[in-house]
Amino acid sequence: MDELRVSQEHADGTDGGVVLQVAGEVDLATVAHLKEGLATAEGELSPPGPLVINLSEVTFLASTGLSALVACHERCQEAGVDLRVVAGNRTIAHSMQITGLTQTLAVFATLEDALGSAD
Amino acid sequence: MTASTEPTTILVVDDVEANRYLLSSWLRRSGYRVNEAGTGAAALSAMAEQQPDLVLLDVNLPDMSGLEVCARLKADPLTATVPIIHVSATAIEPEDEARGLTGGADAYLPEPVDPRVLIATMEAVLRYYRARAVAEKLAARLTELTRLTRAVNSATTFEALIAVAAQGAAAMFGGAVTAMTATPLGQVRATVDPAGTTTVDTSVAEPPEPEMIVGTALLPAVVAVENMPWHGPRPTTVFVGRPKPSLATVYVAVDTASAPQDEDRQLLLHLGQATALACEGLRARSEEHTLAVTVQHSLLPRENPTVQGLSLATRYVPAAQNVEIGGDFYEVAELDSRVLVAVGDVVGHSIQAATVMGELRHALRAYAIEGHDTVTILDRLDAVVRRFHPGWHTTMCVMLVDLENGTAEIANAGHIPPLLSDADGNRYVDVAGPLLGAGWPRPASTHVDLRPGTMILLVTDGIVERRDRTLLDGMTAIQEHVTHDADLEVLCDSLLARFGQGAKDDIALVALRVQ
Repeated sequence: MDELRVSQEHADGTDGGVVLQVAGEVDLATVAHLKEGLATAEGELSPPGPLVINLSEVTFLASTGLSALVACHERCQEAGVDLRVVAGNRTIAHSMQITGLTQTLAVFATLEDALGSAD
Repeated sequence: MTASTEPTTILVVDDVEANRYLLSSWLRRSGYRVNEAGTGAAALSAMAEQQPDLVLLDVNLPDMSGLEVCARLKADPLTATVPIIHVSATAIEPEDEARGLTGGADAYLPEPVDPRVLIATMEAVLRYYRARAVAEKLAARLTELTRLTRAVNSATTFEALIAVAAQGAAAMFGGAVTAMTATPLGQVRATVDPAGTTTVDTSVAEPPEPEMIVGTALLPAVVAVENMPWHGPRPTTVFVGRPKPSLATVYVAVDTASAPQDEDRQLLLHLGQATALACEGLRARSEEHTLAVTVQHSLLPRENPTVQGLSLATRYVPAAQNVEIGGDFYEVAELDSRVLVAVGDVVGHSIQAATVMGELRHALRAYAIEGHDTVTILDRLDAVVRRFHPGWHTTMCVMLVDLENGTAEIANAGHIPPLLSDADGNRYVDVAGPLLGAGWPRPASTHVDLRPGTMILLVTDGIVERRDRTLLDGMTAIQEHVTHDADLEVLCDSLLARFGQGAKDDIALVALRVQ
């Protein structure tokens, strides 16, 4: 089974920004790992961030993962953090569109687009 | 090492009859059973027939050398563990002795052999082989115990669990094995006969009382009894134990002849305890699952309303072989002039998800009956989730079908959109919106015209999304599968048969057609 890998790196060209790289399958069994990564990233970045969540290498995103993104968005809004999500493949982009996340989240096609975006 | 009373059998291989006679009479006098062979070929065939415990092998044989006989025996897995002692009648050089030992022999005795040295050497070699056999048997049993522990813990039914325990015990001890426990549905018993055939039977009979078997001994216990009616009319050694006093007892019975020693009883104790703990785990999981499914069913509509001008079919299928349940639901309710149709999914799998689902379904009906439009209904449900169940994000698609005007108003909270099917083909309604609990602004509702004969299908992602199939692929597959004039009941069944097999998530379906 494809495990979930979550790693954090500095966002190039920003002061206190963080890129959270997510790869693999997000489902009920692995979502805790994603939530942990989100919490760590949120704790370490300095507002306004940005916090960029790169889902380009995610092969499966169950609704529980989308739920984690929504919760993260809410916390970022409270903390004044600029949250950007990279839905860099068709599967993820479609899931986010169906579930209406693209209407509110700042969603980008590539990491470069997300990092180049001014808020 | 079960039968230590059997005399040790020695195969004496020498082409000179006088030598054979001399060696044999020494050995017989010392209590060994002796077989003889005069050639290398005779020795090789005697090995298979007589299965000696040790071979005394002359180095010089007429048909082949003793060294070659030794090499062949050591190369055959069936005879590799039989110790071999070379005896050489001719004068030997150190390199002959070295070659014999290198070739696999365990000792090399030059003639003339002193009888005391011969016996002492044989006993030393046999001592080593016996110790090795005991160690190997122990290692094999521990490996089997580890395998069995894993296997009983991954069993998903009591029948499988008890069968695995019985087969594991049969692999370790041999002979006949009976394993038994009581489950919420009655007693499960598995027997493995000496030939290795497993039989599992379930009955509602009461299992025996542990006290009848172990008397006053504390559980878990391994006791030897003269006979055990449910195992067989012969001396039986049985494990009796249970994880907690209030829980069902587990019995594992083996023939005492197969487990005569302390170490055998210790092993049976470990095996029995692993089985008892696995039974308890499975019982807890199956009870939770049964409870969860009951709760979930109680929260779904008891029966669908009969609505003039609308035909309807619904399905709810809990996840297969899964102790957890999802929060899928559907709703069909007749309002004053319109029909409320909805399908949804509370994110997560647990009884709590199911109860959140039940609450949202009731709130949905309440807001719908107040006459709100679909977007307002979803906005209010969004507030309910945020206020009372923060974090329990929920997807939901809500439709208000107006049969008089032949229209439907649809709003979607992160759910798979409805599939519309008519003579023009199949298409998903373009309606999206944020899931409930996010508190995000919601786009306006979508209106579709429903001509007579139009079919609408609402599903949850359990039937669409799989590891090996993305949401988009699953949606496309369903779109291609549906025919607009299909009988709705037949359509639901064929969707479940085609896409619902082995689903890891639960599934809800609503299919309706305007007449």
